[in-house]
Amino acid sequence: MGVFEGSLSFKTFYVEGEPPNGFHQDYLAKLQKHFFVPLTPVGEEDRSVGWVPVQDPIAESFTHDQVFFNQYVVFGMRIDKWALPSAWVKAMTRQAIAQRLPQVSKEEAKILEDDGKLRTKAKLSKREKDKIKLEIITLVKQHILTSMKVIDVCWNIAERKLRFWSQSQAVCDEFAELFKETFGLEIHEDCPLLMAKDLGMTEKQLDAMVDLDPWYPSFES
Amino acid sequence: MDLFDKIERTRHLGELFLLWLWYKSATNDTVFYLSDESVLALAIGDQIVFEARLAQTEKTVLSGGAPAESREAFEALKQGKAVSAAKIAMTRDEKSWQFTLQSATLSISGLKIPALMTKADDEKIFERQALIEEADSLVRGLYESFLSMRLSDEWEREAKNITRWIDDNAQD
Repeated sequence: MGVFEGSLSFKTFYVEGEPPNGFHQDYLAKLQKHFFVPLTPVGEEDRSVGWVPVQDPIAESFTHDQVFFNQYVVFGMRIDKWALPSAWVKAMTRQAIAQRLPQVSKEEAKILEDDGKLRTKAKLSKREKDKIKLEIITLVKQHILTSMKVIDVCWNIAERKLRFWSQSQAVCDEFAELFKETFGLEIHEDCPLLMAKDLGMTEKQLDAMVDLDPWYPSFES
Repeated sequence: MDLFDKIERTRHLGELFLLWLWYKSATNDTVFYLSDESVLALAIGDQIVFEARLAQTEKTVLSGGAPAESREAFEALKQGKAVSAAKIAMTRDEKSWQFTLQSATLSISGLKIPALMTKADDEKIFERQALIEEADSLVRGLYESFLSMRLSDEWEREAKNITRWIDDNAQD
C-alpha cells in the first residue's frame, strides 16, 4: 500500500544507470521473469518473494497499463509465508504418533517396561516422527492460506529515483538484491551523503563533508 | 575510502540537520526563505526521538504537547544526546504536510499530504506522487541550505548560537 492509497512511509533509493531505449517492453519482460511464484502445500519452500501488479497482487501476469504511468514504473514486491498454527501442528502430530505406535498387549507392555532394550521397539524413531510431522504440516497447509504482504515500489525513471514502501532494513536489503537481479541495476538507499550528491554538490564539497568531524554542543560546567 | 565508508562517516550530518531545523524553526518564528524565493513555515511536531551518541540503543522519546519547547528536550541535548528522528509540520502556499524525518537515512515516514483535488482514479497517482515529491523537494532544499551553512566559515558563529540556545532553554 502507498502508491495509490494508504500510508506514506517509504525509503528513497537512487538508481544507477539509464533505462535503455524502449525500456517499457524490456522492463515488463524483466518483471514478468521474476513474477511472484505462489507457495504450495507440497513444496519445500516456506517463503516466496517476487513482483506483482500493485492493484492486483493475485494476478498471474503484468499488463502494460498496470505498470507504466508516464514517468513512473509501479509494481509491488509480494512476500508470502506459511504461518502455521503451531498448537494445531503439535497436537495433530502427537495424535498421529500415538496412533502409529506399534500395538502391544498389556502383558507385552509390561515386559517391554521391564526390559529397556525391548522397550525401544515400542517407540518410533526420530526419523519416523519427523516424517509424520511433515505429513501433518502438508495436511495443515492444504487448509490454510499463506500470509501475504505487498510492498509498493514507485520508480521515477526521469529522476532515477524510486520509493519503496517499507522501513524494515532487512526487507529493503532483500528488495535491493531482487531489483538488481531483475533489472541489472544497482540501487543505493538515501542518506546524507547521497542526498548531497544528488543535489549537485561538487566532489570537493562531498570530500569536505566526509572530512567533517561530528559537531556536538559543548557546555561549560 | 570506499563509498560505504564515506556514507557511514557522514551519517552524523543527518542528526545535525534535524537539530539545525529545530533551532532555525524556533529562532526564525518557523519561517524559512527558500532559494526559489517562496516562504516555508516549518515547526517541530509532537515527537522527538533522542539517541545517546555512544549507545544508540539508549533512546529517549518525548511525545505529546510541544516537546520542542520542553526543558526535557534541551536537557537531553545537554546530556549529549542526538536527535535521531522528529515529527515535522510544514506549510507552503496553503499546502501542509506532516511527517517523521529519520536522521540516518533522511527517510520520511507517516507522511500526511494535502487533500487530493483530482477525482478521476487514474489521475490520482500523479497528484499523489507530485505532493510526495513536493514534500521531498522541500526537505532537500532545506538540507541544501543546512549543508551550505555547515561547510561555510559562518558555521562557527551558527554553532555558538545553537549552543547558547540550548543552554538558555535548558535553564528556563
